[in-house]
Amino acid sequence: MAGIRIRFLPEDRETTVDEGVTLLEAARRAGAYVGAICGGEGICGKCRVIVREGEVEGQSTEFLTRDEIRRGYVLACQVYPRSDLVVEVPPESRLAGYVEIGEDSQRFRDFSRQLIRRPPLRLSPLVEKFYLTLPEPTLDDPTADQERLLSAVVRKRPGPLQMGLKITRELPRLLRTREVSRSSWKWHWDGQVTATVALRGSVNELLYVERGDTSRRNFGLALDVGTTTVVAHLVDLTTGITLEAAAKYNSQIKFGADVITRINYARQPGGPEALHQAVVEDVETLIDDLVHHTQVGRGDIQCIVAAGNTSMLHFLLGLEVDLIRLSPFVPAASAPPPVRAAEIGLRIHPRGILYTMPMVGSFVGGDVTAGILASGMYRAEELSLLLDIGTNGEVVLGNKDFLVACSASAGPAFEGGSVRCGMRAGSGAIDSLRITMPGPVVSATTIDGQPPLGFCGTGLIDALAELFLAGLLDRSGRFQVDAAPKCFCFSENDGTPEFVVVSRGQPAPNRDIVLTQADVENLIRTKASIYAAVDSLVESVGVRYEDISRVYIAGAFGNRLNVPSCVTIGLLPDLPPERIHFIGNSSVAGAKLVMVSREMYDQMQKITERITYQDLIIDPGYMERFTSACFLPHTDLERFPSVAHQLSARLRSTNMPL
Amino acid sequence: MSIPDVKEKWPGRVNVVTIGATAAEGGTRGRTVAIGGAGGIPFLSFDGPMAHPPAIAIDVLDKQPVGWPKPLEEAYGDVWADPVLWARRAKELGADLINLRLTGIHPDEGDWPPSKAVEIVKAVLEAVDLPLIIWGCDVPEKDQRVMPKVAEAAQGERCLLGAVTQTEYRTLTAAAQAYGHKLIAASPCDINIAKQVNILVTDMGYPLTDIVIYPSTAALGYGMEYIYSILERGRLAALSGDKLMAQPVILDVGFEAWRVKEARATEEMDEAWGPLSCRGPVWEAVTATDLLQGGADLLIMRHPEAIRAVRETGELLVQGDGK
Amino acid sequence: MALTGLEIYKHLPKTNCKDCGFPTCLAFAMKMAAKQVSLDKCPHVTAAAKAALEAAARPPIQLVTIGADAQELKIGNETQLYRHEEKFYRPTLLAVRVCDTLEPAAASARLEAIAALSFERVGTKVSVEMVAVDNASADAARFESLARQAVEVTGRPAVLISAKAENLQRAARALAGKRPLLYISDPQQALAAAAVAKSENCPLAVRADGLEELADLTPKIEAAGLEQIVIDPGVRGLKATLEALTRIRRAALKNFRPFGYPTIAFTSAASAMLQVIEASTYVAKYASIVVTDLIERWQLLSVLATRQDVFTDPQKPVAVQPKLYTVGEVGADSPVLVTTNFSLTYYSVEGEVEASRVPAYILSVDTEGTSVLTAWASDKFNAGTITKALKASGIEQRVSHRKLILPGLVAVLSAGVEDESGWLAQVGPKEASGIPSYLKNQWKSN
Repeated sequence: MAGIRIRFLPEDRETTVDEGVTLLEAARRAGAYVGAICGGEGICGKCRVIVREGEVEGQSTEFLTRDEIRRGYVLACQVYPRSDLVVEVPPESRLAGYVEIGEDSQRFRDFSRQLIRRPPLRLSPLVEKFYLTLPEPTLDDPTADQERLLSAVVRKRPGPLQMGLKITRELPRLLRTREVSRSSWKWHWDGQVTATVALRGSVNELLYVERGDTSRRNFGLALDVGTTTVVAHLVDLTTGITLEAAAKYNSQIKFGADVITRINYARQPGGPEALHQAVVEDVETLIDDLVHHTQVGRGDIQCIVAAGNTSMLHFLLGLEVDLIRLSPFVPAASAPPPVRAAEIGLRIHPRGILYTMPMVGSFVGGDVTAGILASGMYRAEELSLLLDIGTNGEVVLGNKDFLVACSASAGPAFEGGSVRCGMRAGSGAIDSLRITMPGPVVSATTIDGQPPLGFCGTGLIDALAELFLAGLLDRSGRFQVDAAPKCFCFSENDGTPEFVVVSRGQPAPNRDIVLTQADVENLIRTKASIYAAVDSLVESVGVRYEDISRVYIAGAFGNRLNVPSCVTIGLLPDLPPERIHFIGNSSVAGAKLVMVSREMYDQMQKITERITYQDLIIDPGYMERFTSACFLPHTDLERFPSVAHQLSARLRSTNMPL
Repeated sequence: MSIPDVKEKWPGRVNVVTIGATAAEGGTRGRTVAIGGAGGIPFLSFDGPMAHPPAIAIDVLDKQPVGWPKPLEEAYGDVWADPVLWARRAKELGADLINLRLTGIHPDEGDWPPSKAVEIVKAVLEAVDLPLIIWGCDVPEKDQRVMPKVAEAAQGERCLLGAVTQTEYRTLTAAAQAYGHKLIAASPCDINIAKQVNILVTDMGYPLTDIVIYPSTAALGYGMEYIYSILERGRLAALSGDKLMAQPVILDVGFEAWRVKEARATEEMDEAWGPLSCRGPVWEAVTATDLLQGGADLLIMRHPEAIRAVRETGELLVQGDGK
Repeated sequence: MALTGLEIYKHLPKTNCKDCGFPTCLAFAMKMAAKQVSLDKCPHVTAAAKAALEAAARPPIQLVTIGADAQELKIGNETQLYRHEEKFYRPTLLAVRVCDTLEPAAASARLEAIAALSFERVGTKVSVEMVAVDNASADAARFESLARQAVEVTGRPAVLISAKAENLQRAARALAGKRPLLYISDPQQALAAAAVAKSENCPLAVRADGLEELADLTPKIEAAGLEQIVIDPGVRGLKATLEALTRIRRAALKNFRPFGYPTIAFTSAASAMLQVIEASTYVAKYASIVVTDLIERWQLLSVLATRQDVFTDPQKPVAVQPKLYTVGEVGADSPVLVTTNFSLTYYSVEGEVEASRVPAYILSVDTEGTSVLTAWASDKFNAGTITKALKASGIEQRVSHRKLILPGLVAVLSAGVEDESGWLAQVGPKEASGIPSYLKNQWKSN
């Protein structure tokens, strides 16, 4: 039977499918990326494509306006091809391949270098290479080759040492050259070898031995396996300097934008394999990129330290994930032992080791423990707060005496998901916004200066704050259309107002970039769950907000976070701005620290054991705190004196009610 | 042995809201009703200034109700087809206020035009000189057309208008503001939402001190404890100085109490629970008095026996009985 | 005052040894602060730390036991003025009074009526727990005889009320092993009664003519070697009793030992309705026992309902019974909405269905009181649990169609639910507020 041919533009990928295959599935097969947060269930509206030629058939959907339907838009997951097709994937549904975190990775090179320069941190990476010149054996000293080598290594790296038979087999020939003639074998001593030693639990492992001095070729990969983005930094382990960073979207997104949806997918036959492979392939792709850009060989990479939330690390290692989301939320392992990277399918040096950052239960993953390490909050006198503003919204409060963590299921709104014109922090994302009245005049910046395609998290935070301060949103988050009628349009579906930030076509995008009333409600609920989580911890531990000396904010939702905007909307407590530090991706920073310092590695284990996890579900006051926080900036304005001040100043100057 | 002084020193008080206006004040009411003013936990003479005694408003619908149980039919069956007659009966029974519900304007109930609602309000105001509470039908599109006209018609009488919510508050607040009425702010048994509604309303310029809070109501045995605790918490907040919770409270006791099985079930439950004629009124009365202990200032009630008992209880609690 | 997690943590060894069963000392401390675990679970706490923590945690109101074996009742150990701060722990006990001045036939009839004072409300059994026998005649023999009869006929523990210690002795002895509460109405006889209580191993309720006098009396009773004491505020009438009970509770929570005991209150209003109101008020306001002359079922039912309401635990996840509910006059064509058994969710849905004026069935699935999204995430609300609830509900016999409406937030479940249940799963609105419009405009049974 002749199949149906479908061509996807602009990437020009083609595939042939049978009847009964959705357009989304066809795109997957063709290798054309189409965003699908909900995994193809028809409930996110992100898989919009335009049918240029041919016919499709399928369900109607409330995600497309009549105008869009006229222009050929369909939701790829809801339609089936009826004839050969030419389909265009519009920009907002495409994924740019690699996200150049750019500024972000630069900041991290500096950040981790700073950390290395801080209170004496000797460089003692998890994998070390020792160039040894072994003395020639004599009659007085006929020590066997193996023992000769081992004692030399142990002098460099004290402690129990283990090695495999393979090395012993190769050793005599590595230490000598051999002349073979018809009648005799002549061995000449060389004795110059490089031994590669890795920390493996409580012992050291001699991974392999090479002839000559290869000690400069010692590199490690610090990996952050995020739910949305996978980031890899290549570090020179002899200097501790980061050479290069690369990142890309987590390909698991096609199985669902959030972890629960992916765990559900893992229940299907072939699901776990697909999810595991997706991560592995992503890492492999990043390694390719890094290797390409730095001229470092794959075989020079001796180890990987992986950080990520509990589910992601389980996917990476191919561990059972189902129990993570069922009460009592038990992972397969909190601190998986170091394994051979090759066992997972990661191709660095064949004997290279994969280490994982330890987790605390299902909700406080290796990314958070890495953040605790990287910020240094675990050894400070003063009280610190670490906020990871991602889908899971983890919060950690503590100092050298105690650490408490909790997780607010914030939702993906700050990462662009579930917001109509939301997108990940990539090229063309609006990442900052200002509104000046009267007017209003809206000015915005985008990542890479590209024409705007949508909002990323930092852009959304700014939008909410600026709309509120401009009087276009009331305290409960309702649009005040009468204050600026020209800026609003009305939804075709239910008539609710939408604030137009950028109109279609000047230049790009091919649709209006708007913030809808539902978007605002969603964002308010997301920020409220994070604030309520902080509130819950502060209350249950028994401290006060004023006691918090430092607030660290981590997250992959943009490069420029405007702290005052975060306070204005009530996402962050109203503390003096100098106490608040945006540390971007602390996950990778922590992974790097551990990679370049055994001391930090040890420290990491100890820290993890000290973390107390507080489950918000059992806090009877949480729902109340949440409802209280669902106001801008909060129902109790006294908690936000700086915002109250701004609001009354504006009231005085414009006589506009709040 | 002397016992420790357990009097609490509260920095705040519940506001006093006065409903109704006499001729001297620009209205035509025979008297006004003041509610609120508590300076302590309900009814404790040693805690702080006592509140005004709880006021009782009797429910009067703008047309004959459907599905009211027998005891209520016995009390009002001969008047409930005419809101004017019903209001007069309410006055006879000792109501402090009339609680008029405009049910006929509801699109599914009669869809009466605004003019009819205005007509009825005027007739009731004319017939009885008690202060008036007026509720819409809870369908925003209709209430937005009716309530402003009703508010205008009742101008000068300082009525209590119900109700604004966190999603629908603009029209009614503007009407209350324009025509000098007090406002009922409704919230679904949630202190934060109650505060939020107050914030939204006062952001429009309406005074915080003219608001009466309606935290919804639940009958005895059917979730009453939620309301009870919200009342206690609200009272504690008011006494601690929180201006956003310092409003007096109105509760819809009659409506809730007469919905439940204990107040409706007849023969099949008489043996296990006693006869409906006794059971029903007691259910309403105890719902009211329990909630008064939580902290309430204005009760909407129905059955004459329940009303008598609650009135007597209120007097005992406010003045003491020396028994 | 209650200590916070951090304050408790400072007293603990801080070794994170996990012997207590919790992962860290701070976790243990936070559980202690939430009253979910007691200090004795930590085997390594120092004596000094123990003393400090226990002083802060001692119950301010004595625990008193009345009755024995299967009928044992406990009162006391309260720590709150307001139920929302934590909860009220021991529901007020009700005792209906029978006087020994009644003619035997009347007494028997009254006792039979008391014996029948058990009710079922919202699927739970509630009853009047005790019978109060009043020595109004002052005659010891009549008292003893009625006491015996009362306990036998009603099967309940007794409160024995007399002005004479020796009468109490006789009656108590007759009820040996049943541990009745002895109530001495004459303060002059209180010490003598204490001796009786001690020898008969019963708790003692005392009264005095004012709160000051009461504060003088109880330390004497305690010094006589009796701990199980119950106190009567001494006044009568709604207002006076309310104020006295409140004073006693506030003082007790400030650790004023003379008032650190459970309380007993009496209703005395002229009419039955007012006595019902009195009893309910005392139940809500700090009385541990209420003695009343009310006897009709319709009178006691509302007092018991007040008790059920006030003593529910405000901290438990707020759930409704998971079952099939109906709103309005449902028929074979009525829509079937599926939701969880989290109270707020259920009541929102119910409220919106009511507002829509469309009669409908609501199937509330047991999700342990969690909301739609939480239940979905923790896999309590899935195709399996929904189908199971559907089949068990009997809805298939009540409607002719096979269409159910799922909450919009879990649209992902529709395929699975259809497969497992064989019903058509329609996706309803994401917010409850969308229900009226959905039911009026989009729902069709055919």
